[in-house]
Amino acid sequence: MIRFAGVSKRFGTKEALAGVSWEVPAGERVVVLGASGSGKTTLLRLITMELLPTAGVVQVGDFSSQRLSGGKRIRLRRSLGIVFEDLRLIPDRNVNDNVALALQVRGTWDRKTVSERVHAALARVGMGDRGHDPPSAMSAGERQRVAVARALVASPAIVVADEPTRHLSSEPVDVILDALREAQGTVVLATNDESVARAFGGKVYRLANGHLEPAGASAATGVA
Amino acid sequence: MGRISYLLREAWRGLWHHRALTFTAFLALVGALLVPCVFLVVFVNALSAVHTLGDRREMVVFLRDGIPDSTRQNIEHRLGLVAREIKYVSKDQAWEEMAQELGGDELLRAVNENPLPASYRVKLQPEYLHYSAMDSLSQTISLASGVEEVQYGGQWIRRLDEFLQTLRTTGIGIAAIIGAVVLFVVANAIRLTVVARRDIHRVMVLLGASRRFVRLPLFFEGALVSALAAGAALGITYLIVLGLANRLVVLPSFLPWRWMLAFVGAAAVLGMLGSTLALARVGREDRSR
Repeated sequence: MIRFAGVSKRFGTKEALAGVSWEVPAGERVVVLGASGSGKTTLLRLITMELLPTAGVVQVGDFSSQRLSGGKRIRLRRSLGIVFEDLRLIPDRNVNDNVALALQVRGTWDRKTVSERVHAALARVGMGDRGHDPPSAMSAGERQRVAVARALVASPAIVVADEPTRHLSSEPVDVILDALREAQGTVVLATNDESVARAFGGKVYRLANGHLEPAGASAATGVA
Repeated sequence: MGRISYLLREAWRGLWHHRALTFTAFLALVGALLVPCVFLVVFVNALSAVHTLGDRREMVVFLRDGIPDSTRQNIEHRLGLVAREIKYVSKDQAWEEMAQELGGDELLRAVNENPLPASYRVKLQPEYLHYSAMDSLSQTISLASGVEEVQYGGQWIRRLDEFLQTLRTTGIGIAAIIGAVVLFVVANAIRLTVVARRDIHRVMVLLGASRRFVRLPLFFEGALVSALAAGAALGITYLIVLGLANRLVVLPSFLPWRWMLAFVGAAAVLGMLGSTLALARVGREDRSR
């Protein structure tokens, strides 16, 4: 479960989020739709608690932005699968090692288990035969798919995907959307592409001017 | 991939990623570690020489003439408590030895009677083979009934002890200076690595890595580069000893295995400390931003 209670986030004079109240029940798939610079990434970074709200409270599972020690932050991150907008693959590791990292930080070290899960996650996004390649030898779309595999490999309770189809050019979007759709936990997908939002399905929210509202609704503030 | 192999691979990855920096740090460390390495070889050889001399250290207890057997046995018993070897030299044996040393008995014939005292030649147990213990023992024994005089070569033993002490003090001084140099070199090399890999570490943290998960490979990096440098310094010193062996009459001995392992181990520990310093410094810099 993700809950925003009157959450504002301000960067200097710019207010990225203005008193957003929002709740995503466990297991639900939602899409946050908004133009570039509308605050989608800020909203997702508040979920991962990479950022803390200027006002209000963010609650993700058992973790609250009000009481977030270092240990809790680590446990929170281990319950998440994150697809970063800029992918953030580690350049001096091959694809297998990049994906395996998500398991290793959670304490999964058994070589066979890691190998099997990494291969399954890569196969799910059509990259099963590229495990030994470095990210630098791949197209942006291929790197995107690896980033999705890394987010899903540990079967996290919540998947947060920031523009997960942004780098795809010729590759089919469906591969990634299917993989995200099959994730067992809650999925929050942020995109500026309405066709992606429609294709992914689930509840769609629109983010504009710091306010989050269900797509089609006319409310000026957040949605509870 | 197992945890240990992950750590080693990560450490190696870090070193390889900044190989120019690593190589510079490695060379600086080899240069620094050569000094204590050469010193250790000198120290080991000096110690060995001193022990050889120490083995020859003897205390001679001269006895009064005409003491009863019971008194002599009492002295022998007391000496037995501190000695690893005791040799009784009677007046007659002393006379014969002197005759042999003088190459004839003409001079001795001029003396009417044997003036030489009987004595005990005592090789002490190792714990008494230093000046203060020998001095204290000689004073105690010389007070015993039946003892005329105790000789033990006090001055040269004191000089020997002082020489050893100077070597030890110099060793500690060199260790402290080189330790600081190693810390400085490793801390700066690792700090640059940490700064260069900051983005990667940030990704790891976002994926749920603990501080220990991120930092442990950096400790290994510090330890690895220092241990390799220590190994190289040992190798170079060994070649120096081999080169000198052809020019010296006495063949210098190299460090025992245990000393070499301790040297490499100490370098690795210093490397880890250097990494700790680097991480603490980067942490302070991050917090002050």
